[in-house]
Amino acid sequence: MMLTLKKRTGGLILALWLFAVGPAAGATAQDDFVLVVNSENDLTTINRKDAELIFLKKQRSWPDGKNISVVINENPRIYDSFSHTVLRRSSQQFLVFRKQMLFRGQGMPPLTLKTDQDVVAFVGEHIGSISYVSPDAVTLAVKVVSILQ
Amino acid sequence: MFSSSFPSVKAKVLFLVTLFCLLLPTSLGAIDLAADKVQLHGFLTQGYMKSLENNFLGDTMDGTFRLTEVGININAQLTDQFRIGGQVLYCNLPAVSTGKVRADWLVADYHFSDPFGIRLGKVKMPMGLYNMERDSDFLRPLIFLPQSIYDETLRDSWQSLWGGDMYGNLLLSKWGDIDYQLFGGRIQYEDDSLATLASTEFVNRYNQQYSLFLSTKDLDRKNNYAYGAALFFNSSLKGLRGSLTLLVLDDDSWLHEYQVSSLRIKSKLVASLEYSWKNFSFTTEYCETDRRQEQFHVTTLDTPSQAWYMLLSYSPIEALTVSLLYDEYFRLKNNHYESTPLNHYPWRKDLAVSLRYDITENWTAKAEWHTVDGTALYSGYFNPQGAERYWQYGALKLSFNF
Repeated sequence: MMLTLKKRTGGLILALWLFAVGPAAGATAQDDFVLVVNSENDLTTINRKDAELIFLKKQRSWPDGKNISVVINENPRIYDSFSHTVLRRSSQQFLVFRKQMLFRGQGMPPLTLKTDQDVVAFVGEHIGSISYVSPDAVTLAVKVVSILQ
Repeated sequence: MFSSSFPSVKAKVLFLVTLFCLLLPTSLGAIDLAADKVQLHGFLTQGYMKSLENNFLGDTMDGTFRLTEVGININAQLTDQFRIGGQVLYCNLPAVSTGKVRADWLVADYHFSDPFGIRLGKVKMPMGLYNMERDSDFLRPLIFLPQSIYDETLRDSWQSLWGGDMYGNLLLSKWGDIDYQLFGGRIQYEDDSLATLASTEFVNRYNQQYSLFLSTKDLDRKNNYAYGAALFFNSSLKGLRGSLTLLVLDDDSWLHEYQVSSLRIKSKLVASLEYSWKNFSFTTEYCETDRRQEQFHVTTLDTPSQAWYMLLSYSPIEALTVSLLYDEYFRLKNNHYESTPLNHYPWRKDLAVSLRYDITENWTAKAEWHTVDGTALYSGYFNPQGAERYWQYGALKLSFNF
């Protein structure tokens, strides 16, 4: 009897917890965006830290020595999610970071495009490029790269 | 005392060019001139400031609109590794070089690898978290940064140097990564910079005291050398960042062949910590400046100063930030009140509240108010009739950048 009550209570707590965190869990970045590279790029997975350094332009070349061309996708549906998940900063903080780089004289900010379609077209044409798009925007011209946390 | 200088022709041209650029349709805020290999960016800020009881940085008790900055920069990525770029700046600010267009930074940058690159030319000097972006209002939380460390009167002088720096990023395994910079070169003091004017003021006082007639017309302030290092630690703990910066420099002021004064900063060390959690951000910095000052070869100061501040910010929405600042400066680290609290020149304590609203990606509006106890850091210079111990100042500012 006691065990059943404990099980029921435990089940209720679990259900309440799932209800509480459900919407947030459903909105994880993994569902919102995917990292993409040119389809000829050998890369299949990338560490989150490496991705962060690449998008902050602190890591500028692929393992084969070729230059990385970063593209920022300003599609508002995924921009925040990408910024929080990969860069671990708000989109406002990321914007300030890019402006700091520029106005301090430390570098040029990455290319910025407005839509998933523009990004897919650019990455599909440039072998060394990397960006992120909505999952449903992926075409054969680009390859999805999994992020390892 | 403070001449109202009219903008030069160059400044007007720069202003018009900027206005022209602002009217151009831009996507990223940048103007791409050659398939993203050449970019033109810029900014324009205009503010209003007013102080009560004392002047701050000029004749501010009546209110002033002399709070204008215009900057334009151009960058060209010539190869994957090699970039050249520069930014020109026009300022109309109380107490800082005014009415002139000057090179803010001008670099040839060769990036050998991720851990190692070199920049030569006029490079920005890192000092604490904010020294490199003091001309770009939209990059910092406050209009006036904590004065204990970011003394506005030295803004035009101690922001960049002619020389170079080595820079890079080092990955620290699971701990995070470090950005480093080692820099060296010489600072160029403008004739109308406050650093030069302060030397002039000292000679004038000497003239009065000893009934001399030394002319200050040809007084020249020179920097013999400046060098330093900076480490910026980006922790793997989300939102935590720290830095340690060091600056060493040596200045002389000359009247023809006579050395009238010298200043040696033996070390200016700033330790910084910044932590962001949810909608809150906490920043604190601590600074000690060990310096030796001589006037006519007599040592007048040979002891460190001490400064620190803490800044708490809250953003109820991403575009809006409310900040609370407490900032302290002591001229002498080991004798805060210099034996007598009746004299309020040895310290400065500033309590401020500020509001920042990012209207769009390109437009930022700010407002802030400071209440100050103490008159260290040039209040005597701006208030020759005598400065009040308790005083206040505030400012409004609107910035546009592209």
